[in-house]
Amino acid sequence: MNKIFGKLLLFGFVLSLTACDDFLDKDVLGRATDETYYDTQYKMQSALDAVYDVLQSDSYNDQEWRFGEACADDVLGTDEGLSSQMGQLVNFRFNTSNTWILQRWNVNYKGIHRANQVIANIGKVSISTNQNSAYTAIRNILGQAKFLRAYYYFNLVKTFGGVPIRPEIEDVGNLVVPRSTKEECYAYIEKDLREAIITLPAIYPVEQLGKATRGAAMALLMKVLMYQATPGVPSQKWEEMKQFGEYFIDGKPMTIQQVLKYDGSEDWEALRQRLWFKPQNLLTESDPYEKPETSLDYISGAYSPMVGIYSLAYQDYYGAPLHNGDKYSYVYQWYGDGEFCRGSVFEVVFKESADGSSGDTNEGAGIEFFDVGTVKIYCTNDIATKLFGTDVRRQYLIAHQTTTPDGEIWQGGEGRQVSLKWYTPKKDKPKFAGDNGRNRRIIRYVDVVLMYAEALNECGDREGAIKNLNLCKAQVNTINASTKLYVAGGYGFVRDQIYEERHMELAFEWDRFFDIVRQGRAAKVLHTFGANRYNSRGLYFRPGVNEIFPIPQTEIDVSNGVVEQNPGY
Amino acid sequence: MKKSINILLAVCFAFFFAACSDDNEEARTPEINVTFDKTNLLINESMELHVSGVADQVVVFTGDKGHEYELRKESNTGFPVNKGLFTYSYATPGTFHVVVVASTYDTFLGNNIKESIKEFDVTVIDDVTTIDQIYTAITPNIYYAELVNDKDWVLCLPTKYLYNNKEVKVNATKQRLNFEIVSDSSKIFIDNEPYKSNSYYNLTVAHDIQVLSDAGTTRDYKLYVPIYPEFSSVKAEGVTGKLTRDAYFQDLQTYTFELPDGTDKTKVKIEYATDSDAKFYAGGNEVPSGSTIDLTNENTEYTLIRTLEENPAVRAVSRIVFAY
Repeated sequence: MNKIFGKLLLFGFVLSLTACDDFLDKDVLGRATDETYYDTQYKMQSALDAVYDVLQSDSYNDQEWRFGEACADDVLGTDEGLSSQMGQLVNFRFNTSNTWILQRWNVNYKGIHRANQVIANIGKVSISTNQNSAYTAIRNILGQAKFLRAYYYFNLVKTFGGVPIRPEIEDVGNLVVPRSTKEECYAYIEKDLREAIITLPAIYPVEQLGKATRGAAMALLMKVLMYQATPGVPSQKWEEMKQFGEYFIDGKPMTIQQVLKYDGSEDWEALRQRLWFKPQNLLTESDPYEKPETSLDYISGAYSPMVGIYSLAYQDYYGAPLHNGDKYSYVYQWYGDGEFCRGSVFEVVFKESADGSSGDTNEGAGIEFFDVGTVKIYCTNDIATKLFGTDVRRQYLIAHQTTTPDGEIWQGGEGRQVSLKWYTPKKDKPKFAGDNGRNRRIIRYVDVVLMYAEALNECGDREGAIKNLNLCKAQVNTINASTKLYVAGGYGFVRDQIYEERHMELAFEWDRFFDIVRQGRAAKVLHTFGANRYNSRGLYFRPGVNEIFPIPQTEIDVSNGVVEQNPGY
Repeated sequence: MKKSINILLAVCFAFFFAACSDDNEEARTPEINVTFDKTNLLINESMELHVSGVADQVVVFTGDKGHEYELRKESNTGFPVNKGLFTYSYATPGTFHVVVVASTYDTFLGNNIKESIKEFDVTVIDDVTTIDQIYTAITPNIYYAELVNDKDWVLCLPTKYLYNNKEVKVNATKQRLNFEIVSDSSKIFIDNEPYKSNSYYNLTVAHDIQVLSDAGTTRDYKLYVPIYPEFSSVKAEGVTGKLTRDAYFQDLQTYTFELPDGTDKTKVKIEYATDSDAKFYAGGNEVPSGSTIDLTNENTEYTLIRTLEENPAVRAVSRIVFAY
């Protein structure tokens, strides 16, 4: 018995030595890895969908309105008490462990991580044809990923200042990345957007609407340049903004060299191939060959110049007036009829997860602000008077127990008003699995025109600034046949009129807080606002500190201080 | 069977007594050590607290409004410390009593709490005396002053401006002034009187401005308000120029001459008088009245410059355009 037992022990001992043979390390057949997955255009497209997907998530939109709208002066919140994380945030009485600050950090890095997957792996795609269109398709995917990565980074930089720029290929042994400076981050964002502009088409066929276009990349680049410039201080950034505005709004020609600021430091052919332009040695006679001096409008894949695509008029995608051109045509720009309307430059669509059956009826559009009993932020009569004065756009706020354009009675509470921009008409509400929610407009053409006007004013062309500003105002005047226009004046007067129009036109679109910060007047605006509030919300905004938020404490902790905190926190 | 049931019942009975045994462990005694990098801070300057030791929870009462330990039962709150590092800065000057509370609990979740408290004072001073901007808003325009050296601000005003195609006279004797200074605690004095945002000031004369910080530091400035010079009369070849103002640029004056046909515009005798001691320059060179200028040369920049005799840094420069 002992002998048998001894043999068994010996056998077990031998087995224990062989158990870790590398047969366990073999790849499972048929299962893709990050090394093998990204080999076709269609798989890259699916990876790209995942980058867009973050934009329609609740966690993304949730922090968009909390920071962009609730921290500013156009709304009050139902959660402004200092006992909640939200209350601390909007009162600027938070500390570095605030939940929402961490969420804004995390969700944008989630988008960046997904975009990095596309950009880092785009070189692994193999195509089986020499058709130029095959290269264009891959190039467009790359351009969209670059646009989205720039968008997520921009969200972070305008919130936190300089942030860590994550490597495109993450190394588990080197996960802690120190912060780059704000200037380095903006240079990174600009490079992505400049390359996105030349790799994206001006417009897509109707079945592909929703994908980021050249217009989206250029509009975002103008905004990124604007955030780097200081009002009243001459800067190359204002000049570049003006140049893009001339192309976008006035239809002036622009070359690839001007967009990229190409200086010859990277071999031109290497750059072309990196961005998935068809290699020169494979070109056929009918294929275009893009040079630095090539006009932007002649890049393969562009169907028409920008001025033919966008309009300030309240028209749908096909150019027909929205809501028969009546007074509600303005607000129908945000509804189903106005999806991809002439005034929309970039909006969030993709219905994969905006699934009506899940109970989440409108991902990406924030219907919760509008629902009875759940309204989280709202406007008041006093705020509306201050914001709009006698401007006709005030009528697109809806008060307690009044009806929407399609006949719903809104009961959000006595004294409260909400914007019809947040409303989803009955016919647009998802009912069944597979229905998609209403799109959220992220960049609108009127924003581009107003940015152009601001750049012109900053560059000394005040007359041009007023002309473009009045293009916007004249369009609003079509609602009520008003003849009121903005008038000529000195720099500060023109600038303040542009600010006023931006405030009214872009109100309740979740951008107000960042706009007043980059204008350099957040403290003044919020202190005035807070002085008239019973809870002093806004009064605690500290100039020189609260223009940016603290790096989440967890990032400081897990990096053992490699990621440094912002001053004043 | 019956025997087995009885045994089981006996065991259960025994468990009945045993179940409520005193498993509760008394809360440990919290022992923390708090180190801080500084106790004298400037406003908005970060303070770092490092907390180490044994505790279930550490909360910092920073001592400023809403976070006072003494008022903790009147809705004042502390900030929980995540790991060992806590950073904070103060928005207002003063001395603040910082209290770090370390707590441990027994297993009854708070029925028996032990606390250890570390406390110290932080002094925050506000020493801002820098004025970021001075301007006056004369409807509809905003006129910004420029800091021409460490001390002197220059705010240029026109005599008139164009608004809705009408010339409106600027009343410089009675205008409000606006100051942008990053600190709410700093005080501004104009000619030794406290500044008030709703008071009117005579901008035809220079003003002494003093900034007093909360910490007691003072800084002196001077505000000059020169008027953009104009020609009181200007003639080209004997033809009087008619002034047109620019709605966008208040320093820009266009003088139009209706010169007779056949006038040689490359050699035009210009005769002028200014509304003050201003001098007329073409391309940076002074042009005395009665000199000849070339009206056709579009590259020549014409300016009228008024310089303050006692302080040459103070200048008002009008840009002049001649049309014909």
